[in-house]
Amino acid sequence: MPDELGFRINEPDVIHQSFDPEVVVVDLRNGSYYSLSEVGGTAWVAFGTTGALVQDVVTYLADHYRVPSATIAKDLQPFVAQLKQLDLITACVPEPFQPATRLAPQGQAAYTPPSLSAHNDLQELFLLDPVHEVDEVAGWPHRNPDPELSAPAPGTGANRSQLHTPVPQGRVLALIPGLDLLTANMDGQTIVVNRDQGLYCTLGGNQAWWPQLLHGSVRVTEPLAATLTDAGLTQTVPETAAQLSMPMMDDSSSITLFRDLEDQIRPWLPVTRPPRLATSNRTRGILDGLDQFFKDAAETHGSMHQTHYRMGGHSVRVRSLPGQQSQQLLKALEHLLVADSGAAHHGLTIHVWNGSTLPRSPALAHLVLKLARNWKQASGPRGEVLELHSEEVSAIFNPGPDLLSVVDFQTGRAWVFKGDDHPYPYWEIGSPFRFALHEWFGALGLQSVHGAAVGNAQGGVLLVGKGGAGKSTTSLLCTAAGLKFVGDDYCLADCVSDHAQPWIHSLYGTGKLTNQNDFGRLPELRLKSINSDSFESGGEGKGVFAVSDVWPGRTVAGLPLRALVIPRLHSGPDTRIEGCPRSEALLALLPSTVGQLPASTQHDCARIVSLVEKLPAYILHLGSDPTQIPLAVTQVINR
Amino acid sequence: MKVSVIIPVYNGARFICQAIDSVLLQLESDPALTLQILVVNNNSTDNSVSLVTTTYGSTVELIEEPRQGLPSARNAGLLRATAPLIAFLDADDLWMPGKLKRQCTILDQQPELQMVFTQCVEFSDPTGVFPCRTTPLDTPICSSMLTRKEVFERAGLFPDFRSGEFIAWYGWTQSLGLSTKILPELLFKRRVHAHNTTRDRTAIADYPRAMAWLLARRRGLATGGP
Repeated sequence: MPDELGFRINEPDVIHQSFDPEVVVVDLRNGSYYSLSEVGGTAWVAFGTTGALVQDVVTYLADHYRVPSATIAKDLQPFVAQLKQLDLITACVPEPFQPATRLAPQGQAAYTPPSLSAHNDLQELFLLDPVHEVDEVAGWPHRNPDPELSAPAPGTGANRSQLHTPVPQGRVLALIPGLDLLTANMDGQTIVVNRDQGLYCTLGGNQAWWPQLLHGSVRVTEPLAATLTDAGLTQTVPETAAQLSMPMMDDSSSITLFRDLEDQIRPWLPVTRPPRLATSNRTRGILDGLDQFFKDAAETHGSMHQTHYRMGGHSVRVRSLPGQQSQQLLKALEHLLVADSGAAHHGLTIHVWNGSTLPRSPALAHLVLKLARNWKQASGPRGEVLELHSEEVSAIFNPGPDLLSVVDFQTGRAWVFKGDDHPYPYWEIGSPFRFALHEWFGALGLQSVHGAAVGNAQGGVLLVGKGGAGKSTTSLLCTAAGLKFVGDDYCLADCVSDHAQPWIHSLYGTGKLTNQNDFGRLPELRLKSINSDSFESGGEGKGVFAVSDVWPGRTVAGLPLRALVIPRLHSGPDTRIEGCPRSEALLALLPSTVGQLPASTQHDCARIVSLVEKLPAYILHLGSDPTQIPLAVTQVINR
Repeated sequence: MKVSVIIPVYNGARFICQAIDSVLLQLESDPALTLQILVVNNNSTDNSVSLVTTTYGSTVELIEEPRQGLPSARNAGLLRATAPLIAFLDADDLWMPGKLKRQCTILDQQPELQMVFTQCVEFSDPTGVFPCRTTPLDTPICSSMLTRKEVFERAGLFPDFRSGEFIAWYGWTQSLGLSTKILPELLFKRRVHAHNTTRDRTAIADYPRAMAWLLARRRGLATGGP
């Protein structure tokens, strides 16, 4: 073993703890744990996380145990070799050795050669151990003490009392830098969606402090300060004279936290979203590679299928390969099919296909492999593909179904590629191309909204609220009763075109049911699901079916929008309608929409606010008698 | 058969009702089953507690455990458990129908057997977002365990560590030679969600502590000590 070689503990994969007189080491990669003998532990700690030369450790041990260096060197050699072989230590260029800084076990035992005993009996349990997340918002199991938040600002209090200034109440808070926030304001209520923490909150009463907080720091009294901290929005900062002139919040200031959409809003990965820059040549190269990839797949396949659709008054065409799993996605759009006019196409062209062959383009092949092997390294917080993230290009990778979706705004092309031949999960069959359509139509000023829409010749209503609120079932009961079905899950809202009022356009002609109980009220949907993972066929997914298969002629491409309706379950038999503030509809619609659409920006918030501003809002208290529900909805439309 | 089911909850409003429902569903497959459901609130700041009390009323017993952490919460439940058989379920996980019946039957048939686990799979919440192990895993997990109460009289309560506490405790039961079986049936589902996919460095630091606890106990066993 050459003396100039240094080693350090292989952190962060290998962790350890010193106990008098032993050191216990755990390898997180495989769940093995090791108990080091006293001398072994002393040597381990001497190598430390910053590393040490073997010779320095020999000298240190010789000094520590008063044993000849030659003996130590002979004993240490196999021990170090064993640690190296187990990958518990790794070669490094160590920092200058400073034995005083290494905290060695304080055992009194006489010198024995360093050794370790390995234990592998609990490996499986380690690898499967539910690893508990730790921030305060998260739940299980441990509060994360944040010294920054609880420690008082150093040195400031004393100075103030010398100046005989009364000690001000509360704490000085500043926004945590770099937060991924979306905000919207309506009728004196501000909604703040904190996408880093996965929660949203409403600010009420006097909110003069909020704009100030956005631009600096502000003194906040309890309990609001605690709530802001709990919401992951602020941190305590030292006081400066400037804050004294800031207005304090008054008794009317309030903040309410909502954590019910946490899993939709929260990022998948704890990384920050990169800014959108000009499209690089490498990105353009990957797009060319995608184009070629689809052409090659079509050629190998022998045929290519092109279908034309009219969505939100714009044309969209989809190119697919007949017989492939990917063609299942077209079912949801069937009700929007139009004939090919033969005119030049100026809309979006989506290429959709699946397969496990690799693309010819090396840059694209590299990306596809990287996503398959370690998508986290190639992705932003919500699966944004970093190499395809620019001013004109947007992409997302969904690792569950192995689905890559790419949009090129400049050329009006999109590619949706699934890297295997497995069936698509129910949510893709029910609402395909969500990412591409949200991005594409957003650029045209049309807003994807999370909700269901139904109506009649007079117009339609948009049913809004989080998942499980009753949107889908209400829309289906209405359709069964003869109303027109615009869509479920996502619809396209239009506040910008030349309509006297907002319009709601159809994206997907599919409905969803959650379990067998729903068939009681909607027996005609039995055995109609089009997805292979439906609960009806023993799968774990919802049942997705095409509305026009069940009720031919009931789908409609769009309707003028008359109202926003928030369905709410209640226990009695009767259904009734109640007017409510528009801000309540905004709260039901905005967080669930921007939380679930990964590419949402402040533009989405602005469009949603402008939609809600133009419409009356109602709460639909859903009773258990299904016949009353369509009547109540019709009543809203006719108001 | 009477079983005490201990469900610790800390800000689990999104999941807790599903978890409790999956416990109550056990009664359908085994009418002879009697349940004592102990929900241990561990300083939740969300509406977990009001949700549980309004939804289940006196069907569940609510315990407040101020000492933060899964082991403290589970131990608080243990101290209130009155049944001869003990099971645990984390608020975000689910039992599948017939789980307790199958485990009770085995314990009934094999008096020497002390602890019974089942196979486990993971599911992503939201669906499709997090990579999951969908092939059944025969690994002992606290939420799939049914034990006799004597196990805790012999092995003691769970040690108070922020990670590795169940691993160390289980290792200790095995050192004591407590007879354990992992059933071939898949009867437990673990939810993989945004909050159990990120490793926290400070909690992970407790793994070596937990293992040191186990090693010290084993040494005591070897030298005839407690």
